[in-house]
Amino acid sequence: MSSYRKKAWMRFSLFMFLAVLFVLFALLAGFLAPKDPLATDYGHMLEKPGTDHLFGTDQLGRDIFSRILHGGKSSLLIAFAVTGIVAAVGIFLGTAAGYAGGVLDGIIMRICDTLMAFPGIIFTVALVSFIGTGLPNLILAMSLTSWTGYARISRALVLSVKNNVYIEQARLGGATGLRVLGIYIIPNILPSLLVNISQSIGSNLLTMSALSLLGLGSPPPTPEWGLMLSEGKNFLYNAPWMLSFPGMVILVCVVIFNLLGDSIQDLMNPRESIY
Amino acid sequence: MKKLTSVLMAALLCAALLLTGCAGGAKPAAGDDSAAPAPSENVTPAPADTSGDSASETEAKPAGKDAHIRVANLYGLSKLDPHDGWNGWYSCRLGISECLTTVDENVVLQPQLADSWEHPDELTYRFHIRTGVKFSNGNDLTPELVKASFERLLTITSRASDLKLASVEVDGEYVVFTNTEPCAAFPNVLSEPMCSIVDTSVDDSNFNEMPVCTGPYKVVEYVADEKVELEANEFYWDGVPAIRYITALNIGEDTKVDAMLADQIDVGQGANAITLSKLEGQDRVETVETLGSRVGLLQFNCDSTHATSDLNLRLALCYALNREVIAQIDGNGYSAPAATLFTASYGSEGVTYPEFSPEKAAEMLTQAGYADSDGNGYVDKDGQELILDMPLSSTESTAIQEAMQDMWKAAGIHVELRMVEDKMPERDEGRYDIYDTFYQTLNAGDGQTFLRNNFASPEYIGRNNSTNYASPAFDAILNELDKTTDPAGRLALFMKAQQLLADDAPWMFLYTRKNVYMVNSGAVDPTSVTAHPIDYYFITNKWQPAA
Repeated sequence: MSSYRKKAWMRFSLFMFLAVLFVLFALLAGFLAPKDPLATDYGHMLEKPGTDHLFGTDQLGRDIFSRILHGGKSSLLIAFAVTGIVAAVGIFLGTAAGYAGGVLDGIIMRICDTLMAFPGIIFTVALVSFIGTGLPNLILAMSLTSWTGYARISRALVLSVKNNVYIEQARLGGATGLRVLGIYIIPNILPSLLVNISQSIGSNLLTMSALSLLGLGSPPPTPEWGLMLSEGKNFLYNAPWMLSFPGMVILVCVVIFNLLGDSIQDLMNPRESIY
Repeated sequence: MKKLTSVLMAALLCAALLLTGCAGGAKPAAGDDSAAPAPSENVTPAPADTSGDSASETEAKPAGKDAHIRVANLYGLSKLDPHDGWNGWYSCRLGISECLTTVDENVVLQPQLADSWEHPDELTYRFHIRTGVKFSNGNDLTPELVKASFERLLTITSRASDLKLASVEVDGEYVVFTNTEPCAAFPNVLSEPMCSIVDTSVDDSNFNEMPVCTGPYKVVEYVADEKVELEANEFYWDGVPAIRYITALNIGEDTKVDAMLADQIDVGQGANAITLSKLEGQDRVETVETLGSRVGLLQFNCDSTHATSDLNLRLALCYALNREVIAQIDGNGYSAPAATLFTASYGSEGVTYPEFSPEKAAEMLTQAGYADSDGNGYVDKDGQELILDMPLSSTESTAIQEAMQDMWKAAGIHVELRMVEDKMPERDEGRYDIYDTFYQTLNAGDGQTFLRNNFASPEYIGRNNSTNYASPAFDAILNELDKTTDPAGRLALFMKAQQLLADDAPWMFLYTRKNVYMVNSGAVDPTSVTAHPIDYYFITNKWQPAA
């Protein structure tokens, strides 16, 4: 293995390890959190970070560290759920458009164009305002607005491979359209899409946090990172830890998933250097 | 390079997210009724925070005859025609408009544009119009113009029904009001800012920007959602103000303290209590404060289709809440627990009300037929878990509501906080079990109008009775109040009304905030500023520039 490949593998392993660590922290929050994330303690409101409360307490005396750990569950769940739905829908429609071409391609791409004409976050905010707040509606609104990117990319990738000789051979050999798609096309374009999938986990996390900050996400008292930012914004002066710790966790999480996407790209583009 | 870029992008996005979180401004003001104006509170969302640009453009001038200060008043700026909806509260705050009567800092009725009045019979009031008063355009205030002003009011706002006016006539230097039915609080009702006297002899088409009234200040420039430039009314009847120019800026409640510390305003009203602690330890800004008459409260839907129509359940909800804790969370030391609709000096002494008692809450739940039969921590009845709905506006702080939800949970009552864009339509259309809000209860220094509008049976006249509370006993007290002019008798009736409300619990009263004025002692003499318990009073002619 070349030194470049080794480096790429090392980076991929590191970021994958960190990403898995984050997910594990979220999944095991029930065991790792020192306190109940919903338990109020009116005798210890707005307490500074210390030994009793590693990240301090909020305006209701709740332990911020425990809330962040539990918040990972809902925050990452939404980010993964949205990414999964968006990727599945986008790849399916994009692949169908690229492979079938003609009228179907035209219809799907025009829908994409229409949806992409609106600024994503504003469209999402408008949708949430229309269909109502809450977790399922938030996932639905985010999914409705961001599948188009996957559809466009997967259509382009399908177009680039569908006229290859091995596809022609498969067709001449009697393979059905579905078989060609499932066995020859999708496996070929999936690695390229993995980069996007990984990177959009980070961006979905940011979008979701922004929506929660605006009060359009999970209802209180759910421990959720964006909602924690929203609750902490009025206490920036009195209790900066209410804002800084959830903010830092979001930052680190987004960076890890973005770098994970980059490292996957490095692995799949051996001609390019890492830097 | 790509990695570096992505790291930088992620960092920038998070920084932007954090900064967005830090920004104050457009939060609908307190008591969500911040979110949209509610009947008796005149609360509107403060539009975008314009403190930065406007304030930097408007430099305060040193003390002297041309002294110029900058202020930020409660809930920002609005249109100014006093007769249009609740806009009178804004023109009153800015010292632009005045009424025939007013209410002083001790919540006692005082003469203003009328210097005396008589009540010759049950339906008639004769007000003697003060002589020598001029409008800010130099026109004399005459009884005819007072009459015309009331006629204009009656054609513009439905709120004028509070006056119960049958006719307004001029009799020499007097204006004679005839009511449709006895209205003992009429002189008080006339101090409500909607009754401000405007000069109807001039074109009133731009009164929402530049009303012509008799107050100590007049508008010289109106920039929507940004600022109002005021100049002392040189004809002011009670002494021309010593501060000649005032710029009223539109600043959100979260950033008023910052604006004060950044020397962008000189007097500020209605800063978010959480932010006031920033003022500790510095000398330039002094605070002048008094306990306000705006009360934070809960409304329970008494409609028979809602579980909260059960009196025992409402009482259980009341007994489960600890007002001390809620006041601490709300005001950070600038709120006090309040268990009655009116302040202590206003017929509240002796009223007994549900105080925090988990045992009593449990007892009431049992009496209502609820028990935790499945052991999940929440009570149920007939196999169905009790889940109560409490809508919240997505832009408001949820700290108090979360605390209450937690206290109810401890009592076994499951309350769901439902986030909506604006919760007010939810209440208006009856889609709630519990609704929290924040009301100015002593409008016009008399609680009768408030009681009638909010608690009278709908068929009686309860214009804003959104809880569907109906009590013939309460209506009877209102009838008595209409006929009782003796202050002691009225106080006794107010106490009776409040006791009935405490017993029937259609609302639960939680806390009162302090009205805190921040004063830059380098620009304004803090001893000349008096905080008023009614928050539609603010700018006066008594303010003096710093020596």
